[in-house]
Amino acid sequence: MEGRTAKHFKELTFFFIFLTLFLKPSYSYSQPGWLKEGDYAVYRFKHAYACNRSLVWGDSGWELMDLGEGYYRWEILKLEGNLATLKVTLSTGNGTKTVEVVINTETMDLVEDGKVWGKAWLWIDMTTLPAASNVNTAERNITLVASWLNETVKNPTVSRVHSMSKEGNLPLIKTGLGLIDLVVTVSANTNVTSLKLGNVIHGPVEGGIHLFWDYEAQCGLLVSGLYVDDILTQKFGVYYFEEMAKVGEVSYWMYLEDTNVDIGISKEGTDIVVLLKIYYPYILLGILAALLIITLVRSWRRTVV
Amino acid sequence: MKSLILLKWELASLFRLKVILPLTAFMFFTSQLGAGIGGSTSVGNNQELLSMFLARFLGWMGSDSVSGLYLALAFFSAILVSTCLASELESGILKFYVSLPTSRLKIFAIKFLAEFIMVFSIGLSAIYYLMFMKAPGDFLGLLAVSPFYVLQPCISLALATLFTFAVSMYFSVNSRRAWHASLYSLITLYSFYSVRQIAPGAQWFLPPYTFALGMSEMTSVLYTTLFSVLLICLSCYIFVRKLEVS
Repeated sequence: MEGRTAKHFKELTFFFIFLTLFLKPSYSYSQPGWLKEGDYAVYRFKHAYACNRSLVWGDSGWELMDLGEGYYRWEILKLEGNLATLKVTLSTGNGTKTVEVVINTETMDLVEDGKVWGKAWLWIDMTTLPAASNVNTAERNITLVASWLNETVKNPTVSRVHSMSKEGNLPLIKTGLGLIDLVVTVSANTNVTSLKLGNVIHGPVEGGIHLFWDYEAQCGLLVSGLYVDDILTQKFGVYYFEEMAKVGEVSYWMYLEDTNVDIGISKEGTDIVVLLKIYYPYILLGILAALLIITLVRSWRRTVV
Repeated sequence: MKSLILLKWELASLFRLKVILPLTAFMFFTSQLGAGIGGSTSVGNNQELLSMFLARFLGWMGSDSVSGLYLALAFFSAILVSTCLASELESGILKFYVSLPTSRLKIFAIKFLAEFIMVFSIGLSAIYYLMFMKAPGDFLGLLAVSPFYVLQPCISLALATLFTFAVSMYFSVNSRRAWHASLYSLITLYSFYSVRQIAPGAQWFLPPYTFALGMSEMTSVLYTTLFSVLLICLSCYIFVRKLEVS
């Protein structure tokens, strides 16, 4: 009798386990879990370039004019379902301009009156977009920028989560908050080969200018890179930025200066492990030099006395 | 003649099964622990170019295996040098050596030379065994085609041994007890090995990998060699002038 009840209990528990599995709340759309109203991010750049449309220079070249340095900032004003209203600010030497755009947080489509007018990959969904860990990159059938110098940038390659220092032997990515090691890189080729920036001719670049940018691996927030999106191109008319990287760094046009999204680093506390990793050779050499000197001093004192 | 007898004594005290067997075993094991060389090059059907390329690859592989062999080098130089200097000082055998009618400089040089010959020859045999096994049929032909590349591991191993010996000599001469000396030199030499795990960007500028010639920075090889020569000179000075043997 007891054995039978125990068996029934077992069946019942299995039944409930299966029930809870099926009743698990399932979302009809997948937006990043950290997304909430009030989130913002600020990106700092050196020189923004707007297109001087009346002066098309050469066959595939474009003439651009300098707008000066400044920042690019977005903030989530309202979040309804998978539609978010963003307040986007661009500040340059020519002044500050603010627009409000509606973005689909799942597909990153910019929507207006029910129509899609562009893309802005301000963040990526870390659960779906990066490549599988056994391959290095995967080609994704998505549009990166709908309109950049009269062309559509699409079908980018998306890398898996990779370490800048360990796998690439590259310096860590600098942000206003601290250093970032694990990133996902999105890159795409364009057909634009040459540009005229003020009086300087840039190019011709063989195979077209290569756009790429990095997302940090915790939330999928954009951190650095050669980044453009349709808010920049279509709302502000900005197409190009000046290179900010110093010698030995990976090139970037803009970098993350500040955010309230929890990406694992903050302005208040720097990560001691990262600092140790960077300064480890110097610390090691210092300790060893101290050891050498201490033993020498001890032996000399002994022989003198 | 006198120094030859001293060298013979020193070698006789070193060449014992207790020393040789673990030394050989660890040298052969750790020679497999190189960082590994990747990449591929297509050279087509040009036979001469192919053999040059093979020789270069073989030389690089030998130099690279020094970075693994470094573990055994560090361990055995720390043990052997501290037994030959600090431990003999403790037990009083060094007093007998010093009382012989030879200069202290000669004694120091002979002790250094005997240990260097032993460690270097066994390490070299381990590396060349590894290289020979990669291309058993072509090894002698490759040596004839480009001796520079095939003999390159000799230089790397000599520099690596010089470095580990310099550090161990320094601590043996300066420490009061033998186990202090071997512990200090082990800590110093092994801590360089951890750089690869923690700061991989800096590994090519610091000892175990500077000796992988052809891949590391030439200036860092120079600095490391200069450092080891200076350290050996300093420990030689301390041994000859300052050390009280009682």
